[in-house]
Amino acid sequence: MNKILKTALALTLTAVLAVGLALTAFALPINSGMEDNYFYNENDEAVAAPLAYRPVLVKSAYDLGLDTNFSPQDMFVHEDNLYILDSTGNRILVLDRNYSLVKTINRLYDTADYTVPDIDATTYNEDGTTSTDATLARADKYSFNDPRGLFIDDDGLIYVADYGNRRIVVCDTDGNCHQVYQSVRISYLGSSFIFRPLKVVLDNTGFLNVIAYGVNSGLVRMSADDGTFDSFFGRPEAGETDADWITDFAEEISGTTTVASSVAAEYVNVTIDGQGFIYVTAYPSDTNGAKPLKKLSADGSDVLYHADEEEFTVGDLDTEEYPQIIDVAINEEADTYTVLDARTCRFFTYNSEGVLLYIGGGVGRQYGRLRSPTSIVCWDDQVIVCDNSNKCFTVYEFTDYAQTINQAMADYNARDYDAAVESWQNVARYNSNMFLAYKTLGDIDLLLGQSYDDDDPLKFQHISRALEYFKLAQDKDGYSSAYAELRDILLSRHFTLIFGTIIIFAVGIYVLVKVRKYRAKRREEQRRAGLV
Amino acid sequence: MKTNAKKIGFSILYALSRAGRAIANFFKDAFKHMPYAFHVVIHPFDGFFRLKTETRRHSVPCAVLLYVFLAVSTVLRKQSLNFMFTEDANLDMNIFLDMLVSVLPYLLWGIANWCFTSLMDGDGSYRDVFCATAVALIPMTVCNILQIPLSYMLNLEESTVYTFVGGVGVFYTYALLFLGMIVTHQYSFGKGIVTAVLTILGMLTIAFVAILLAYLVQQIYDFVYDLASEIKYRQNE
Repeated sequence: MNKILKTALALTLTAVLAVGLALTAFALPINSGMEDNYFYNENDEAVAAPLAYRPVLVKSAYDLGLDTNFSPQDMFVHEDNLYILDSTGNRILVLDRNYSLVKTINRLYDTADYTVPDIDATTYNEDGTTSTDATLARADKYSFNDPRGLFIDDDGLIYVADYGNRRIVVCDTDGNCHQVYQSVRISYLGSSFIFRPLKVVLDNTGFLNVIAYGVNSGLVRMSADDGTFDSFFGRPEAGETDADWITDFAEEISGTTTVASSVAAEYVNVTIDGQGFIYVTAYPSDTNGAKPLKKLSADGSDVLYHADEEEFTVGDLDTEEYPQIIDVAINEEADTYTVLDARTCRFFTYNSEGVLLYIGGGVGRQYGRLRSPTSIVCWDDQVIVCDNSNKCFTVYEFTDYAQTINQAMADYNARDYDAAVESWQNVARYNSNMFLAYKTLGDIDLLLGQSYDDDDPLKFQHISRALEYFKLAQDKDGYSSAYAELRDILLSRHFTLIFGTIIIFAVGIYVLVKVRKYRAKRREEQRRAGLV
Repeated sequence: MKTNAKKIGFSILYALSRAGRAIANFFKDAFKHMPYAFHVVIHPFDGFFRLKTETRRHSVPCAVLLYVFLAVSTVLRKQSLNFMFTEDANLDMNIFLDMLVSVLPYLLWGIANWCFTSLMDGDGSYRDVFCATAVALIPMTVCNILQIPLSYMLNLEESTVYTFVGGVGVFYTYALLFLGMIVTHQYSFGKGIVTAVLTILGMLTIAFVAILLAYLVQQIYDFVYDLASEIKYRQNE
């Protein structure tokens, strides 16, 4: 008997084990390889999330048929081509829609109306004297030297921040040079300032906005006609840092003024969107208190919308380190922006209200991972990130999950609320931590509810559902406005009952008091009468 | 053997009945004195004086129950407010810790106050201070409870009313704490203020010493633990 029991037990255990193994072996490979995907919930806690960006293509210099001397620094999408700036190969790669190499620009040519000027090799010393940089004087003026920034205007002209040669070169796709901006002097920055451009952007008013090496006064804005310095744009304020109040206090009691303890940060990258807003990124630190990302309006002020102005955060939240936003890409169609954090090697997509939508990338040498990303661009529905250490660029596509979110946002923005409800519910089904889904669903129900009459049962239904959604999204303001609506409905519906009860109670208490007084008086009279 | 079991059974029953009676007496006493405590809130000057001088007025069970009421009301308020008035969700909250934190400052106030007033020829004993502090907590308790239905009648735009009620509770309680101290120890207004400041400093000192002590105990524990584990390792050699 005992033996049979033991055998049966062993058999059952084996069967359970086998089924368990089979189940794990045949589990759907949904997030295989990228299972460390996460997202920040309404309490800013990192929670697991479905994969949003699927790597579909990784191409290195070898895949493109080039020598391995390749380190991509900047990228730009213009019409049907992707341009990649290679700073050690000193060339621009032009790729087509299938990411195969069409053309390489590595030499400049003189045109009929413009001759490439000699490189300005003058070095300005601290004591006011000048000397000539020997290596730079020998450099070839028809080639690039450690170029760092790339921009292409509407006419297809390429602007290259040729860092090593201290100039900005404008050429067309055949390498025909149209303009060179060099030897820019800025008197505010002292006599020893040497113009070494890192990034360049042409704005809608015809000014070049340049990030120059060692300049922390903002973007260097210069005329696109002759390259003369105009002004500093988006001058960063040396932000208040944590230690500043101690300095203030020390100044207060000692009566002296010390040198400003915080120094403004240099900008790291610059991008312009279709409406002409310039996005700049910077690396915050303990001493500069810089904002990692700014959207500059025409007067140079920051207009980046963020619900919580006090605590502006971008990138990873749960680390003590500051984010290093090295580049930002704008998706005009979906109305989102994606920031690339060089420290965590991840990119974060936000909607126009600064709400996090999804996160992609990750550190590593594997397929779809990054080690030292330098630039990010959006090309229609794809996101391309180039990597300096892995010496490649990676193309990411939206997964169904990310597409559902994009679709839901588009439906909501188009005021197609029936479709939006369905698609946002799909989003919540994919990721129950997506508080934006619940918030939007609540907004929609509140909006729909408000369109009905007060005594319509549909209004009540919508508003109470909105309340539930707002609670799930932890959105107190939304909850409050829906609650006020619901309260008004209930008050007007039960007006007679509520006020009737109040009046009856008031009258009742009044009568009770009167009766007690009357009785006490009677008793007193009787007592007196009895005594008398 | 049998008689022994009988004895044990009877003694347990006896102990239980004694405990039951003690608890019943505690609540009887507490509720008997409760109306007077509310009277003191409305008539503080006269009330605190009679609370101290007339023996039938003050009762320790009543004071203990008032402290418990504050703790319970704090937790109740935290748990049953309308969603929009709650603080951000805290996933590792501890109800007992919340209760302790809500009452601890006032217990500390009582201790520090008694310490200083016994040196500054105050008239009150620790029992008087304990009872007066308990009575002073009534407005805060009542306002905590009042805020719960209020939170369901208002929305965030009208939240000033809600905040006002909370503020009244706190202000009234602090005022009563001060008045209770003055009346209990027969102080003048100026001396009362000096004592209040000293009491707050005393509270801080007590908290500081307590933290220091906890740290030291931790260190000693670590030392003993290390020593024990070292000896344990050496044992086998």
